[in-house]
Amino acid sequence: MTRLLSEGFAKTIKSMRFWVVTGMIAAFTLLVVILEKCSDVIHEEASQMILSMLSMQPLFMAIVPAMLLVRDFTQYTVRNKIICGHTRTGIYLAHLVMFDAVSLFYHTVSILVGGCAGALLLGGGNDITSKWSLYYIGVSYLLILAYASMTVFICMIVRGISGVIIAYIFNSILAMFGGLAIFLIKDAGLIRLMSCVLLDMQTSEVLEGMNESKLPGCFKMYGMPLASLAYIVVLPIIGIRLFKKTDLK
Amino acid sequence: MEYIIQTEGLCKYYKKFKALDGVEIHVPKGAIYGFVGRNGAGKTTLIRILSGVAFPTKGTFEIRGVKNTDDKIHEARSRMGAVVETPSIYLDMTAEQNIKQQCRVLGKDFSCVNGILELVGLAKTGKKLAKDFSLGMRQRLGIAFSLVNDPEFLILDEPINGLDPQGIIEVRNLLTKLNSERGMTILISSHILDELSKLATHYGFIEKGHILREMSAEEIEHVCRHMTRVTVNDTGILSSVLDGMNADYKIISATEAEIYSDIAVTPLVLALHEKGCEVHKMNESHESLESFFINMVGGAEK
Repeated sequence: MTRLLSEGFAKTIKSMRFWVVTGMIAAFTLLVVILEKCSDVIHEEASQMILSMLSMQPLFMAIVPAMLLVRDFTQYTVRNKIICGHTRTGIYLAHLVMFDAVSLFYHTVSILVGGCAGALLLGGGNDITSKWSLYYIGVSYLLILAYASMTVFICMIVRGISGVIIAYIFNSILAMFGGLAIFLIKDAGLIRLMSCVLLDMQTSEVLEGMNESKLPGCFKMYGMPLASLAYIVVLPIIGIRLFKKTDLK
Repeated sequence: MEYIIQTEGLCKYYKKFKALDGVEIHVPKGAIYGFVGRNGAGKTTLIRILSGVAFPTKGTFEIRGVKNTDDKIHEARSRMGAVVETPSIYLDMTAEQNIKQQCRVLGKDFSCVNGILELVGLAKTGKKLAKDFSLGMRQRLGIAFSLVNDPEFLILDEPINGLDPQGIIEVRNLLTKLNSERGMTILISSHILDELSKLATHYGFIEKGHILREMSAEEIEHVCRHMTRVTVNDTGILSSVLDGMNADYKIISATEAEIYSDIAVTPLVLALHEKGCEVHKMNESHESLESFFINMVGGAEK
């Protein structure tokens, strides 16, 4: 698998799109901080800026690592890997690891830029090391890995540009149905469960918690990371099983 | 005989459609195996299964003596190269970058890159991206990809499709070179039978998912026999003369006959002239692989 990773990383690093999106993430994060500084309303602090790009990460994932992944199928280069003896499990995992690495890199860039620029321009840098802030940063990393797991799963099953689009809108569709279910059932327990299990809703929870500067309740505190871990572990297992039985073009 | 690839009752069904139905082929080591069949006969399906891209519904195959159900099949494939349908290349990279990517996939250093590009005639493409390559160049880059792991055998699916005459000659020379100099076994499917007949040492004919026949080039040569077609004004006289010469022949019409045995032309013409038979035309011909295939497929259809 290390050979596949070496190929994947070389391809990513040479890709102009990877560096353009890295620049875009840094620029957008900086822009959000500057706009915050210039706005007349009550200024948010650096800790609120750290995860300002979290809800945008699925889009960045779709633009770079997902496109690189499906290109392996649309340009049929995945055949070369199978023909020369790589296992389907190895290919799936290599794609997942590469995807995770790029996603975590983008998330780290936005956290660093948001944190540093926020501390310099808005102040409140001390809050970054507070317990609740560190908790939400940790949960956001797991959330990113869960998003990555979901996107890789869909892209490895659909294997085309449509896979990238489906992966991008899938979480929003799930959140939409989740919202509908909450509206119809109106059960507090269900709402808590949905806000942990549905990634889009969990993202909102994390951002809200960061703004409120406090740790969530016990259920959500453990529910959110556990739900993300479930995505991270279960989806690759199902994905590999399906991919191992699939005929490729 | 040692076989690099063997299949046993290989089947591939797509719902009710039988793309392959009990296919058995045997590719001898060191051979150039021409895989002949019409569109939709099952050539690419078989190649995809052998390459590991698709899975058989039933039956088994062996690569270098390792069964597909064995875990070691991945190892057996490590000395195999293949170009299935369209060449699998990175379109936004140069030829050199493409080969380097495949080196990474195989865990090899880059020392072989220039040699391979030289071999396939792409050494001077410089910074030109693969997406700007001609079809022939992409085809050759695809072959170059399959050569990176120094394969023992090569599977090529329609490698000369869409190539210009120069490209066809280049690919033919390359394959001949790989076979003769490196002892590489090559399985090649093609529609261009005339071209295939210049390369192949063995043939497998496939139609509607069934292997009709496997033959060596010698056997084909024997079956596609030479003949001399004669046009005369009286085939009765011709017949009596040929009988006198113990020739193997067939009267086709009142004025035409085909002679299959080697005959000396001058004595035949003199003997016919003596008996008052006029020779209007005489030409030598050879049944092509194409007509042999058409006859075979026609026979299968009946």
